[in-house]
Amino acid sequence: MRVNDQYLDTASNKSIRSTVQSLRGQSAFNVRSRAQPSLSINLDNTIVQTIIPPANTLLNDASEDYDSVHDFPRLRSVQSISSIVSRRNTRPSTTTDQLSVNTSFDPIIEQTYSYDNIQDPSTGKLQDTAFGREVRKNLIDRLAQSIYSFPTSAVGDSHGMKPVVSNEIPDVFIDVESQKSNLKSHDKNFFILTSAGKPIFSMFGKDKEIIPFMGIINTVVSYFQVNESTNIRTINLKRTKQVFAFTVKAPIILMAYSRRGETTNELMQQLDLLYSYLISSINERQLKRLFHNRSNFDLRNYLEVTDFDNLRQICSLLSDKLYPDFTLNALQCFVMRKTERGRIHETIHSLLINDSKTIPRGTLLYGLILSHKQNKFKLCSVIRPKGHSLHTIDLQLLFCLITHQFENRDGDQELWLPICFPKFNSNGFLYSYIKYLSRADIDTGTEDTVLVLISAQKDAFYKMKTFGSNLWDKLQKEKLGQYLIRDRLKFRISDIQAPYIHHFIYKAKKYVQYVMPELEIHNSSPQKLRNYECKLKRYCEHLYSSVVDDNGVPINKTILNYLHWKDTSVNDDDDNNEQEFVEEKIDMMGLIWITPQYELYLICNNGIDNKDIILRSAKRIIHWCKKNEPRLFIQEGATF
Amino acid sequence: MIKDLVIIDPTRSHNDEDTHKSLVLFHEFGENAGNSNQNDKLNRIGIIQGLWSLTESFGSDTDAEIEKVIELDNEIIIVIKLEDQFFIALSINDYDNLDDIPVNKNKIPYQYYLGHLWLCYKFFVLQHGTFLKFEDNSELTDCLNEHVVTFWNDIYLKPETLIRQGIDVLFPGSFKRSELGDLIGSEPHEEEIDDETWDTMINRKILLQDESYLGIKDILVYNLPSDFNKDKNKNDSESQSRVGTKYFGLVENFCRTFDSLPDISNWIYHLFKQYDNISSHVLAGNTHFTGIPSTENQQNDTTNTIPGEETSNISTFGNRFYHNMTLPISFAYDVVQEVGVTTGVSSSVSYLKSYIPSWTTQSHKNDFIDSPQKKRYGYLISPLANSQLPSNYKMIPMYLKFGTHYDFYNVLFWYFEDILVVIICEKTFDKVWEADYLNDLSFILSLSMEKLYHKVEKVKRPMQENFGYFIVEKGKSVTEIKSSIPSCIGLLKQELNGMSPLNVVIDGWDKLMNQERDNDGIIGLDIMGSLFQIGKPTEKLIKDTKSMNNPYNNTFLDSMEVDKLWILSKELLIFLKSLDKSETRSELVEERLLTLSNGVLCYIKNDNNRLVIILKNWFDSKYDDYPTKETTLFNNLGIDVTSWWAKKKYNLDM
Repeated sequence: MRVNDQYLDTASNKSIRSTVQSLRGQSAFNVRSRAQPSLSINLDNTIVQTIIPPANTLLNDASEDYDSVHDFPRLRSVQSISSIVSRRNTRPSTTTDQLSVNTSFDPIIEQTYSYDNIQDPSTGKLQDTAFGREVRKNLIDRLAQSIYSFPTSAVGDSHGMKPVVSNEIPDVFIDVESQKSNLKSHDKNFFILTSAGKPIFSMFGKDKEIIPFMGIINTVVSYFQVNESTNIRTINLKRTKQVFAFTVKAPIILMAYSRRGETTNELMQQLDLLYSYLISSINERQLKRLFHNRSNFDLRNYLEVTDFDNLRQICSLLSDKLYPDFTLNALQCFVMRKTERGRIHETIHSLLINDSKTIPRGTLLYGLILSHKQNKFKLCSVIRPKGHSLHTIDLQLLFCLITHQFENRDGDQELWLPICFPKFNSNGFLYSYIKYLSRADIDTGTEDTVLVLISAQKDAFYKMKTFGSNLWDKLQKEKLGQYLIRDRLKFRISDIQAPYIHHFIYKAKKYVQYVMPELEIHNSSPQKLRNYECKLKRYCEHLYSSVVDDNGVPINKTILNYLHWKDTSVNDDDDNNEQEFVEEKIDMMGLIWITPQYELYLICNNGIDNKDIILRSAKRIIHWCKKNEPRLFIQEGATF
Repeated sequence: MIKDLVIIDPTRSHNDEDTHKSLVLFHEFGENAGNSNQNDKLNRIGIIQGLWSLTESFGSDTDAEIEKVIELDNEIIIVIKLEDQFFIALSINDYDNLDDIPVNKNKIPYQYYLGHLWLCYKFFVLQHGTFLKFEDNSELTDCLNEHVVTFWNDIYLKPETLIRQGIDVLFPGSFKRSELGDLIGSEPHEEEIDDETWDTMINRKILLQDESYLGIKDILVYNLPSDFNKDKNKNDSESQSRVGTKYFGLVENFCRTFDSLPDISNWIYHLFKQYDNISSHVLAGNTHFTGIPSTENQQNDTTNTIPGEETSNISTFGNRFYHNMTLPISFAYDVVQEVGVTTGVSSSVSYLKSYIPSWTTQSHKNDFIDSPQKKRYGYLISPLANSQLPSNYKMIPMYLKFGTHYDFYNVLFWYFEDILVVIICEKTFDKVWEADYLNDLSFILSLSMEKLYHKVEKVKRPMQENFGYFIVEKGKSVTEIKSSIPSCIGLLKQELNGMSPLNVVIDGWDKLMNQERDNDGIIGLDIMGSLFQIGKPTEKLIKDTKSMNNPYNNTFLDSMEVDKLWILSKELLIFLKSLDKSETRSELVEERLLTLSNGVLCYIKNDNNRLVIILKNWFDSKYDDYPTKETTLFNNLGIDVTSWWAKKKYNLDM
């Protein structure tokens, strides 16, 4: 059999290769004996799994009807995959078999890794009529994506070692100290203090630990202000990679400390976000008034507990979570069909026009429908005046507020909250009507969906409430509500015909929105998930910092940068055949591609070092994103 | 521009009352010099210490930090810590990070200042030993005033010095090695297969000779071709031995345990790049830049300065010193002038000049040498110098490290065309004071260099490479740099408007050659106290914009416009900074491949042993027909790069 197109969608993290000898042919890990395209094992706390999804036609075919989704349900469980595989109980065993997948993906691979001389691991003949030729082709296509498709994956190498498929990637970065016993051991910290040196907030550290620092920070800042009439921006330390970034917004001083190799610009943006949060809680005018005659004022007494919680949450999102919203200055959007989104916006628009009695012109400034899952918000729909939009930082602050306001509340409650949007107007408040349209429910498959209506009028609560319920009623009536509350079209990396890619983030600069596939980690432990997110975050940050200067300006308007990490050390384990599993060597690639239209961050699977294949996959992703732009991004919204 | 330079030693202060004692040096540059009062200076001490302790409180206990860069809105302060107790802080004002503003297009990134700050310290140690060696504080201050202040003053007056050495300067602990040896080695030896090579000759006939064995510690051979191609009319094919960036630097040294090699090499490169030439005066430390005001004006300025500001005093002192030193020659000049007037020959100076020997770059040599076969050579610094000259024209004592031991050694300098030979002798080696011995030494060196030159001239001139490279060999005991990326000489010419505000001060000679300056070289002192022409004056070079760049065309980068080259080197700085900050585990190899807008493909590989940067001409399609086996990042650079790498016998693991 000749496989022209090989989609290697896998490689291993902790990259585990089975060294099971042929004697142990019946082992659960033996690819040859089972020839199953799916394996799920748990080794050394790392679950290694292969999933073969069916052809995902949801996003590829724009005319696809929703019902067809149910006709071809996504296969997630190992059992369901196995059942399909058992129906296709054979795989061609001879070279005479002409079954091939001809998508002419890569001629190099075609030459190098032709399956001609590889003994097929499975036995029997290909006679399964239940799977037609097309389905088989598709399956092998998927299979090729999902398994480690070097020749040794089938027959094993000289030691008889066969790779076990994993969909995880290794970590190439310095281990972060997990035991953080004191203030010094944290590799990132934020401090907020007043111009008089009184502490307001610090991400880590108790009062008695941080107060001495606050004194020095204050002295340093004041020295340059008084003596040099200038402000300190950063302190850079080369050997220990420490950066201290300062933002002085009298009467507030903010300082970020990082050992993570972030650029000055990134840290400055993070400080700006923290400052913006403070301003969203007490606006700038109020803040100045508070400190006007009392420079010694302790702001901690004025802020609420939730403010500190929110600050802590923002810090955590900035430091530990894969939350590209901040780093990319963009928002993630809820995937929806173009027609569905269009109809929703049309409905909202017509209601706005026709329901002017309930909501007189000028009452509503902005409106948002958001989907909310695990502290992450996705934008479903936007109602905005023509030519105006809210700054992403303002929206992030709003998201923070919603998270905390509803943390211990019943979803049925409605909120009417004053909030200052610092990038909109830092001296005044706007008023937000917030209501949950639906709450997350695993049984019904619904997600948390929130309606936010923003007005400049303090007393517009009832108008907003009425408009909100009218809107939801109308959406329900038009059977559009279901599109908002169920995340049906979320996609995974394997849904895109982009081999070798583990994860990507694509930002459409025009819409200030980004898209990334669902994270796939086969371990429910929150710690594992956090580590995985952290790993992806570090890859993306590393890619980003490789092409921007300290001010966050990319070196060129168009940049294409490949990164390759390789472990060249000699591994003694190779000689040790007794050992069952050996960690595969690190051979990772990443890519960052910045153009005036988009930014693409790509993380490949382990074991790939062919630049051309990566580039082709990158192009496919870009093509896919562009093709599906109306689904992935909100292009216009309901404008009035 | 440089604002001020502060050196402090906090250990000298024991209480709040005597904080001022910790101030070792405080020098301000430019118009505002001398405006700071005692209080400002004390404040500066406080803030440097404050910043240091703030950052230390977050740092790890094991990894002590020795350099910090403090960015203010429009200023940068670079602080380095030396010998565990001294701090040097350099402030650069009018510093704006926004490179896209056209006004700041040519602002020099702080990394170059930082590199030079380290070099400045290393050069000081080279000549005086460590700061701690000074028992008398005022003596240290005096020495610092004499060397450190003049070092920075020269840079203040000619900021281009900062970038002339290219990105090599960002690695002050390493030095650039010339690949001349590789070039010669690449050619098969034909007729002279039994003959000893130039380096074995030095080894056998000098180093291993009974009379000099262990007396001469090491001989360093530098190839210092000029960056300036002054003679446009000259046919390129004539100059077979012309070499570019790739061949600039240390060709060979003979002692394997010479740890101060980077420092002395960088010192020579710095002098060469700063003054465009190496002459006796430059080596003896008697050449410095001054502003355009004449000597008289400067002396007037000195009287106006606030007492206690020692730099001005130094320049006055220097002027007076050189004036005295060169009095006999000035006198001779006066006589010639007088004779000229009386005999009606108005340009007698040119008559005098024709007797002046010169060591300068090759492109210049034919002006003075009738026979191309005859090569120029001689001592620059040696005891053969005129007895009336100061001792540092006869021997330069240097604080060097051989093996584990630091000591002062006597250093002599000898030249042969573009080659500079540095002879390092033990202090106790008295033979070096004998004229016969020195003449013999000079003769052997000249024979050896003849051989070297002969070889170089016979070597087939390498083709222009369509790639440039920069390699830092970290794995060696002394970090080495190999590079073919040219520096951005001539970048700041616009700011100078074609009129250099600079003169090289070698007092007496200024006066002597005043009328001739625009046309001829600077006149200096030869070792014998005779006149010595050392090249063209700076302003002449700066005017000569067209021919300034890249005489050798060794790589496509040599023919690149200096503005583009500058953008490229700034991009390299970004990459280097990002590598510095990289959190990649140290045992991993990290490779990067970027496409840059100006048609350059940049490949970077960083691991424990080596940092490699390769810049490839994107538009080079010469080798497109050669398919590569694999499409790895390195192979993507093309077969010319991969075969060059293989030829270099580096690891082929890329």
